[in-house]
Amino acid sequence: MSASTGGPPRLLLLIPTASYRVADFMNAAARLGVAVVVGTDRRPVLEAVSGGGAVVIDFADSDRGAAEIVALARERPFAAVVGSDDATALVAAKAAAALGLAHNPPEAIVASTDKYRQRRLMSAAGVAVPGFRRLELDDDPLAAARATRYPAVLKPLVLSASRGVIRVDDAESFVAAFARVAAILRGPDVATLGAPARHLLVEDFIPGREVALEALLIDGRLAPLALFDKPDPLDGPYFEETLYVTPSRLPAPLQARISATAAEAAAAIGLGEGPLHAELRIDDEGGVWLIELAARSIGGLCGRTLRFGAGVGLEEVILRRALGESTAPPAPEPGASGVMMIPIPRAGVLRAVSGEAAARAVPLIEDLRLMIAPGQRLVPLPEGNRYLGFLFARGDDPAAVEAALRAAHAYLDFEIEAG
Amino acid sequence: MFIQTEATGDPEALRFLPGRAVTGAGTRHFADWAAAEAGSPLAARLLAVEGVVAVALGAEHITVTRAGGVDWAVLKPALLQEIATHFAAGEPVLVAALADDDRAGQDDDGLVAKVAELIDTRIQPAVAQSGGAIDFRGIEDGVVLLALEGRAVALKQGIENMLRHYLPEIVAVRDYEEHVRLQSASLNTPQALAVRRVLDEDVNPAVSGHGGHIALLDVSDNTAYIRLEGGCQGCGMADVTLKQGVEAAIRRAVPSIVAVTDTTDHAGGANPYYQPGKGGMSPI
Repeated sequence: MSASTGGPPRLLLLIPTASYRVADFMNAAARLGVAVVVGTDRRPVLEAVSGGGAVVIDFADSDRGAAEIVALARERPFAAVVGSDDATALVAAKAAAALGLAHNPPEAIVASTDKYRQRRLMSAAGVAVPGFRRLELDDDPLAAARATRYPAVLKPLVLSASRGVIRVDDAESFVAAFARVAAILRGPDVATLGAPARHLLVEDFIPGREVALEALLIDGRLAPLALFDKPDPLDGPYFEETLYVTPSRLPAPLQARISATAAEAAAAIGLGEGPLHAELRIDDEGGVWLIELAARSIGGLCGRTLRFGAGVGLEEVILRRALGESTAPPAPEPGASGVMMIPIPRAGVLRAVSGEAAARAVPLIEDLRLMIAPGQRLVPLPEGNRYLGFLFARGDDPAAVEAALRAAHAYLDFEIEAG
Repeated sequence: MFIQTEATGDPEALRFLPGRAVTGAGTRHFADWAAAEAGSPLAARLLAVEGVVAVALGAEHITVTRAGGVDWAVLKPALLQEIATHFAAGEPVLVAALADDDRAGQDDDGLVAKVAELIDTRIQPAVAQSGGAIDFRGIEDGVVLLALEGRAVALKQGIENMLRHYLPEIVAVRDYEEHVRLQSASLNTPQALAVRRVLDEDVNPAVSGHGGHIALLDVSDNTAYIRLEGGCQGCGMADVTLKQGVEAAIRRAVPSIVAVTDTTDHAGGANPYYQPGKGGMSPI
């Protein structure tokens, strides 16, 4: 279907109401001069006065959501339909397929959002993944614990950002962790996610370093955008993401193997178009293990660390590709950058934050964004689903960026009232 | 004379408590010196201080609004001196006709007292419990003027509903700071009035359902400066509300407006309607 009806190209951006990234995608669209329609999972408060610029789309029922998008396109065609995260990727793929726009196969998206299904496909294709098996919430945890090789990791099939991910070292910790993960999966915000939310995964724990790869798939080829080191050890029992620093300090040949592994994994699942976010472990022998793969870009506000060419952001790179730009993305800006996802140290009610000015004043710190206002309840991992905020740094080399992020974080003090 | 001061939810306004009656009952506000000279020697004296743009006289307090960029450290001592001098000289707060008008008109039917009692006994405790505060500034044409602080902004619709339930003669609740601001010349040009109409008729009735409010701060150089308040401040969908809703509606109705600029401190949002989070299948 042609998108040419005069005027700027029309882009449909699918963003859940709980997304961190509304502003970044909207700003990127504005820079590109496209006409944006925002589709969200709940009725936009000003839908009636938006002139069709903000609409509600059913993300939970992807067939229905795609049909709603096709109906909108009949009024005026879209040049691209872009999902911003896991929750929107499937409806975007189905709608784009129906409209003849660039897209990943919907079945590949389904596989990418189910950690069990993606591991089966990757394993069958020879991609190195930790040993795994799927459990049901109704399984006997003690029997499952007895059948497990330790250390292991329990994780939901559908959640992200390490939510519900717990390392277990013996049967006793397995049973306790199983109950905790099951409680998260039975929670009201997760239980509606369908059959995968009624299962969990147990997989081998791979000791070693962890990295995150940000990439763009272009006609089936993987173009790496950034490789992030995660300098804080991720050994459990919970796997809180904190520091991401790029470019990676790993040797170039190892970085190449990481990209190659992610490319094989994407191909195994059937992904060939758009953003890709992969997380990998490097074991003590230098073996590369794929532990997570998603057909979307990095979440939270972390994308703000990345700049390409002359100040082009990650979201703009994604939108350019979706709108048909066929050239490789511009090279990253020189230098290093990093982000700290400020962890929630303990449960309670946030009463006050101090040290912001001192944190901002640390050399190389570019920005500090606090995301939870005083008065709000804090829930740490593994149950929690929010960050206190984000610290951003930029400098000449990764070590200096990492040091700046740690120094700035040390200035921040969060007064948390128990209860 | 010992005059206490206390902060308000608006960093541009400071409350002075002289420890004695000011108007005694009801609230009067003055945003220009000529009106103050005709109605209140005290307000005229305070508006004559450089950097003061509005004065509100309450039953037992005085709220002064400063111009942007003026330092309270400089302004506050001058204001304390003016207030002390005024009361020491025994001058009236309001001219006699205005004071009589207050007594005979504004509270002839006891409406001010009824509203004050409802606020004190039912509304203020609930607002305080949610982390906000309100200050009753008076009634004009059935509109209750309240200074709203913290989460009280998000509760404005609920406050209005309660007041209207018990007192049918009340027609609306309005943020006092906005009430004063809307008297400024720049918000009363034909262009600004057209923008105000869009916000009043199309935008704010809708966002109030999310405990939100869009305040118009200024219109200059064909740009509307707005602030997202209450449930809109810090909301995860604020950009969609702003760009796809507010900006679209304003520019469609007032084509001479070329830009709508958001001045909101979103990090300070105490009660955003949609809170960003990792959600179910989402981020990192």
